[in-house]
Amino acid sequence: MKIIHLHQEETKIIKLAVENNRQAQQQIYSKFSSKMLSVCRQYIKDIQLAEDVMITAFMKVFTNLSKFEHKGSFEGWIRRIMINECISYLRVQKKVKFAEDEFFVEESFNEIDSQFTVEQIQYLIDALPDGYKMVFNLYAIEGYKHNEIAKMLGINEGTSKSQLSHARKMLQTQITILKKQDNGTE
Amino acid sequence: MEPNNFEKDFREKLNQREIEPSNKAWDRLDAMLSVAEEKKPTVPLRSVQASKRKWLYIAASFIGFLLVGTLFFNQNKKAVKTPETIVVEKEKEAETEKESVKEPVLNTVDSVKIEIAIAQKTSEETVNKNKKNNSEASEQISNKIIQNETNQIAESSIIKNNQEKQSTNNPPLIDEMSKQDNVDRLLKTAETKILAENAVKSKSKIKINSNDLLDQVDGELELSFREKMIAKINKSYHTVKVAVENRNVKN
Repeated sequence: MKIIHLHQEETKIIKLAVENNRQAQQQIYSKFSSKMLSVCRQYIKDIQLAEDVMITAFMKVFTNLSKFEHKGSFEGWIRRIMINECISYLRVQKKVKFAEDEFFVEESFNEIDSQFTVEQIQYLIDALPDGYKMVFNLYAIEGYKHNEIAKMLGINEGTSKSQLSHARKMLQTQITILKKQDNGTE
Repeated sequence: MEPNNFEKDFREKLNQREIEPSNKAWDRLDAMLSVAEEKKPTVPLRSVQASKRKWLYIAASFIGFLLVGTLFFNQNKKAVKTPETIVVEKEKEAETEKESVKEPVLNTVDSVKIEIAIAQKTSEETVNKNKKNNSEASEQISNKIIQNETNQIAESSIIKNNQEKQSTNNPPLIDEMSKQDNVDRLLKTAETKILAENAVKSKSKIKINSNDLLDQVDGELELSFREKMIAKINKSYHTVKVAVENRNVKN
């Protein structure tokens, strides 16, 4: 009952926000902004730039709110807009290009059992080049498939796979270094 | 390519993470939203204007097509009509030509020279220049042949033939011809003399020309008119004969 009630409340708020009710819009913003800034931070190292991208993405959320069909989760819909905004920022502003090599090695990293803090994880992701970062975030964190990623980034599926393979390799080496450092400090 | 253990850990931790945006962030978004709201009322107006313009463009293009279509079809009609008008004009011209041919000939009854001149004129008007040139050339060639032969008898026989042709065309004149046999003999003798004096060229030319031209004119004219003409030519021929005889006598 609670869920239904929450859902009804959400649809009410969305309706109000569509009618440019500023309070409703602020409610939506305050509900999702912290999570969405976290999403943007995955892609963009600079927190200020990440916030800028988040604001522009929220503008898109409110201007296209009437197009939301209430089918999937509202959070998922907003999240997708955020990710797309981050990708377009990286591709347009930073002019990220993908090496069109289709070389990738399937490797298992299951032996690596990380116990890192979020800050450490973010540090590792920040160390990746933007191309690797995008593909890794989309695949490992967001759970998109390679064909979906290829469509989103306008690249081949093979390129997406090779980018992920490179990203994983880099992360592996970084993780081992980090672990050594952690062991050293402990 | 399954997500690895560390990736699952990454995902869980990153999804749980929340980063509180700065207080200014909402103010900025608020400002952007209010700017967008100010623009919004103009947007539907613009869309309405755009739709109106669209209809205007559609109407204008439709009218344009209609205009072009009507112009095109009218042009086609004109193109079909123009040859008809030309034909009519040509026919009119031909009629006028015929009339012009008829009128002067009917008016001039008496003198031979004028008639010949008219005949020449009519031939010039009606017969193509090429044909005329050809006929003249053939005449000249025939004349030359005649000159080379210098057979006076031959020329006289040509004249005879001409006379015979004319006589066959109108039988009532045969009587007159028989009456004037003596005159003819005299004419022949006189003519042979003249030919000997190299005064033949012009005369022979005139005679042959007149016959040819008359033949040409005959073909084009109506039967009644032809008969009239033949009668006139016979009359005029006699007058010419008389004139020539008189001159010969004088000489």
